[in-house]
Amino acid sequence: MTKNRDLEQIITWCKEGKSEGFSQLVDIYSRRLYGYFYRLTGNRTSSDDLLSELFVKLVEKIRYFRGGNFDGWLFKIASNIFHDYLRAKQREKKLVEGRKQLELEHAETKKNDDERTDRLQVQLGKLDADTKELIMLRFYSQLSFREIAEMRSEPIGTILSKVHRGLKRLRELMG
Amino acid sequence: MSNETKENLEELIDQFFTQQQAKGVLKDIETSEAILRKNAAPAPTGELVAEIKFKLAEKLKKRKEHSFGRLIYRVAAVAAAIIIGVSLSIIFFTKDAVDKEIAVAMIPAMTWESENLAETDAELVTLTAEIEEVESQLVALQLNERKGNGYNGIWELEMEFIEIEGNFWKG
Repeated sequence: MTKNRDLEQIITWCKEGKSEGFSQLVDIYSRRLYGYFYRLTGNRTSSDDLLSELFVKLVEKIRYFRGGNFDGWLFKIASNIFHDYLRAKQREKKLVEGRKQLELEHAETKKNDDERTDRLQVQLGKLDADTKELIMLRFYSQLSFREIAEMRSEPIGTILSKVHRGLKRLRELMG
Repeated sequence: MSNETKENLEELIDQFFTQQQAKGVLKDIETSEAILRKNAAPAPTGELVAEIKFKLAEKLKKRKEHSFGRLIYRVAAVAAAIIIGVSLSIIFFTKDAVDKEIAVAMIPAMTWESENLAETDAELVTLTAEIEEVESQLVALQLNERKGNGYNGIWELEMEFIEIEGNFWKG
């Protein structure tokens, strides 16, 4: 209860444009959001960029927060930022494809260096993108299945089933 | 995961799975989430966090300056509108006052303020009576009440008008 009241106070400061409020939000959420981005991208540089982008966007968007579940609202923005990143990456890939195939392969190898050092990251890569994202959303946002279902406009049973199948597969992969 | 969320999860799983399946599903989820906790993702570096905080402070500062600038522009625009409005009002009101003064000056103050014109200006009374007379003659002509040639009647009337006008301007 006190935690929620504190968060409400912090959000009010942010809406008033107080730098202290945003600083506290960074302290509270940066670790979870960074984990979410890192597990989805497998890349520290991209995660750094995405985390910065999210907080910068938050300065503009905070006035649109009309109460309710702040974590859900924040992770929705994080999810949108990640999807924008994916789209940009796909466009970039299409441009490079056919012209500099060798260079691309080299870049991919370099980019996946982080993944090699983390076994979980490698196994996560074997799950389909949507399931992987759902699992990460569930784990890092700490939202309930009901809240995730509302956020993604999908039936709760579907979400539960997808997460269960994904986690079961991940457990098998991690053996 | 908090205890509250865990309890909700048990209830939720019961809704979608049989009692026997539910236990397995709950175990799958709990075990896998434990794996995720055990293999924690790296945390953002202190430098990154500090850089983000700096960026946010800069952005907020710029936004405040921008807001202040916008406020100044708004106040200046309102002030300009007020000044223009007041200037135009002064110009128009002053002009009205001058026009009124000119109109008053053409008519003697005594006549303007008098309640009985017959006493103040006998000539004006005579003129009014003659105009009324001419008006009644004109109406009579229009109704063909006079006998004889209508043309002569109008001609006589015109002559009478000229005479009245002449008398009036002579004073």
